[in-house]
Amino acid sequence: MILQNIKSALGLVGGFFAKTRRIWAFAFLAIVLMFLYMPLLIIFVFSFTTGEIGRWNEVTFDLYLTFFQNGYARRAFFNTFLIAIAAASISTVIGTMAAIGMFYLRKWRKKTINAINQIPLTNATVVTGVSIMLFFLSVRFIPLGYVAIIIAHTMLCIPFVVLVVTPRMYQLNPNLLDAGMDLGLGPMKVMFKVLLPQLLPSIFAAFCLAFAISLDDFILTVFIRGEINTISTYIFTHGDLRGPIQRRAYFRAIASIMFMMTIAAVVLVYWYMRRKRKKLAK
Amino acid sequence: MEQTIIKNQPKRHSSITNFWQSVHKDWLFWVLICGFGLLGLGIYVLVRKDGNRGVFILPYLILAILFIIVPLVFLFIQAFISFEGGFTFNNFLSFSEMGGWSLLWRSIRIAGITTLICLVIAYPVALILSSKEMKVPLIVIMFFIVPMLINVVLRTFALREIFMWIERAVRESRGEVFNLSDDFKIITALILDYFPFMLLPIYTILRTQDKSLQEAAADLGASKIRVFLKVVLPLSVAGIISGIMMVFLPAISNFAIPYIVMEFFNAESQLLGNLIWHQFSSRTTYNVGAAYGLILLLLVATSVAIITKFTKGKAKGGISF
Repeated sequence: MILQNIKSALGLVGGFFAKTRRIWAFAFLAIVLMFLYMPLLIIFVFSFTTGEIGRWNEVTFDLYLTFFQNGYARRAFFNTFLIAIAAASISTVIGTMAAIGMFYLRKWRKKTINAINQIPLTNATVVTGVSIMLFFLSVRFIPLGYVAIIIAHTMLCIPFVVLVVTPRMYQLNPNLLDAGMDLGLGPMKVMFKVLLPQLLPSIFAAFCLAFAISLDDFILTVFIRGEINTISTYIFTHGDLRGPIQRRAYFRAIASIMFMMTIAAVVLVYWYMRRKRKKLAK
Repeated sequence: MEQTIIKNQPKRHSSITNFWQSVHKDWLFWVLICGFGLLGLGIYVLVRKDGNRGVFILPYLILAILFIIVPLVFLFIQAFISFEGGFTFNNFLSFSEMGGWSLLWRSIRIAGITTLICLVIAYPVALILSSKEMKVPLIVIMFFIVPMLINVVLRTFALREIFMWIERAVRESRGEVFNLSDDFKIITALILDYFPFMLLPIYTILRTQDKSLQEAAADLGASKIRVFLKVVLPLSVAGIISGIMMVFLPAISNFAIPYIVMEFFNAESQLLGNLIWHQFSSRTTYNVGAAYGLILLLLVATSVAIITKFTKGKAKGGISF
């Protein structure tokens, strides 16, 4: 009797939820999104005022000016993008080649390469960073700095590039390559004229992913940076993190600039994808 | 620390001799020779056996051996050398003196809590995002991935400022000292940092799931809860496992987040990564740091082995896009 009552009550509640399910689902999504974005949004709002967060003085662009007048911070900002572009380009080229090569490998050779590919993905980044740093310090033909950071980021990004490009390789029609060969193209020409154009969307996605990973990386960079700073190591090692508010307030401007750039990039990509989809629909 | 080393570097023309001097220990030399021998063998095998196109793997293979495997060998060797040179186990023995085991246990606990909370939040989100009837706009899905693109340090810095604001506000209204606990701060920061890494694999696998299976189960008279428990959940286990690996493993070793989030650095609240990182602040303890790194490496390897064993290799790769 009681059980039946509970069951019917549950049914009633379920019915209520079922009718407004979409609303509840979107409310849930909104709450999660709010938690994800709250810190950055608050930092963004308070980047237009000096002083502690929560105390609104007046609307100024002082923090942004402080950032742009600080040569070290500007340099770090520039370095971040330089390293990200270099690492993403190199890792996209080598990773795409590796994905193509891996596709044609067989048996234990494929398994071995797969295992090697998994090492940077599963290994703790601290361990990777420490080992690469010890390597560069012992074998001194590469000094710590730009080149070392770019190499380390490249090695971190390549497995992701391989993971993005490989599924696309399996979706391709293998007969197309043979058709190209039959029509008189050499094996290398087939690669560039037939294979690469079809891989292009996933190569672009891989480039974006590698760029994001390089931008996001902190742990590798902090070990092998030498005298170079990126944005993350600049904020982390500058020593002002626990200092007075005047000396760390402009970090808010840096965070806001990165936030705005990312949002702009996402909106751009969204706009591009929608336009493409509309074109396809026509 | 590294800067002095760079300054002390000899001039360019002697870099080759300097390289050989730096390989002063014979076994380091042999390791390098063996590495290049392996390289040659790999090139031979690949070129001969799998046709011409297998050759495309070579640049990556060479780079991976040079910059991933050889450094790990270096780490292994450094862990067994004392600062003065010579073989020793003392680097490992100091791990328990530094409170390493309790720290290890603490790191596993905090990473576990983080993973659990991430999973509990991310699974429903992934379900909603992937369901066709909800018609979630693409831009919303993209906004769930965006936090991944903003630097960890910046995000954590933002969160730290918010914590300081909350503490100050409570202090001013109540008039007494108020501090959020370090564990709460660290776990919140870790969740905010790693949430997309849990969401993405689960979302991918739910989206590519064959919907006709669910319809078939419903046709056969299964209730919605039963369909979820018997069809949707078991088929998404691979995504859950990738997500757990993507969150749990990096969370154990993170050292930036505890360092940034705490207002005053508290040695008892740090994680295992901090212990390793501290060893690299002075040149004399690099070898100790290498030993701790090796311990962490073993820990990661065992957890990966356990996960793959219990799931019979269902998790294909660390992440799937």
